[in-house]
Amino acid sequence: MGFTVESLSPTTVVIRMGEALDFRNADEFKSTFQSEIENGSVNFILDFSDTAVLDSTGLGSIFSLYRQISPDDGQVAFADVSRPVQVVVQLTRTYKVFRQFPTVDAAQEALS
Amino acid sequence: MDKHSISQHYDDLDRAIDDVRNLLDEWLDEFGEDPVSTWPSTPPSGDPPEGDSVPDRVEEKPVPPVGGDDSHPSGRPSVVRYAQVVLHEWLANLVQHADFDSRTPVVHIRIRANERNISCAVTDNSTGFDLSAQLVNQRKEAQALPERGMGLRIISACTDQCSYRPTDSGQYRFEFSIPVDHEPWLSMLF
Repeated sequence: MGFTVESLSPTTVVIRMGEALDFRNADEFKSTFQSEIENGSVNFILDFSDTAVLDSTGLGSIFSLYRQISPDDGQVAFADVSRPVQVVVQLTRTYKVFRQFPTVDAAQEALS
Repeated sequence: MDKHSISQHYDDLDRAIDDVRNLLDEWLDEFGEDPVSTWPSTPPSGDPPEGDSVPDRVEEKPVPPVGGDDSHPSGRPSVVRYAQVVLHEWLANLVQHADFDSRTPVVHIRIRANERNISCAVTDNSTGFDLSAQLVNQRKEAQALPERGMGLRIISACTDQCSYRPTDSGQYRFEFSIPVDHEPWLSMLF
């Protein structure tokens, strides 16, 4: 299952992460966000509501996104983070880098 | 097979990754997220995990501390979650980096749980590698927000001990254990 992108504004998109972001589909995720960056997006809300797997390669691809958009004052926000993803976020302390929100709407409001 | 032990053989590593996670999800369904949840007070059938003695009863464990910047926002996860993370990272590591010398990759995965810890062994038919040396390299080359090179460090943080050694039959075995009161966020990754 691929990644679904929803545009919220000319600079903000939501990416529904689906069941997994791991070494098997990290390249697909990178292609997905690369297209959005080329279209002018700088704020990315990642919806993890249905995500059962986030591994180190998947997390590395999110770091890659962050490195690309942060020079333009862009942000990466995590929304509706599932328990398996929360375990990895806590373990790696990435909550210090990526703001987390209970819902996509809450993330959108904070980023707007 | 006892319901608190898993022993599976795979010749498809991709399937192994998903199957093992699903099997451990069943344990989570049974025991919930409580990190010191009620594992059976009697040992699983068969041999106990290597080097483990099984207490006669389940001891009451202190409630994990709450509060502070580093506390988990929704409580400490079950040790089963960490086992899922470690097994995924290890199998992903085999898929991406192991040399099977033209052989079909085969793994045997054994997981056992009791009231004190989870212990796992993953035996494979690759040509192996020096886990300790690779871990040292990953630590040495660590940078902030890396795109690669976090897997073994995550494994190390999640486990209280892990090893990867040749077996008498010419294969390699990755073994680790995670105590139920393990606090992996004490190991800084950044």
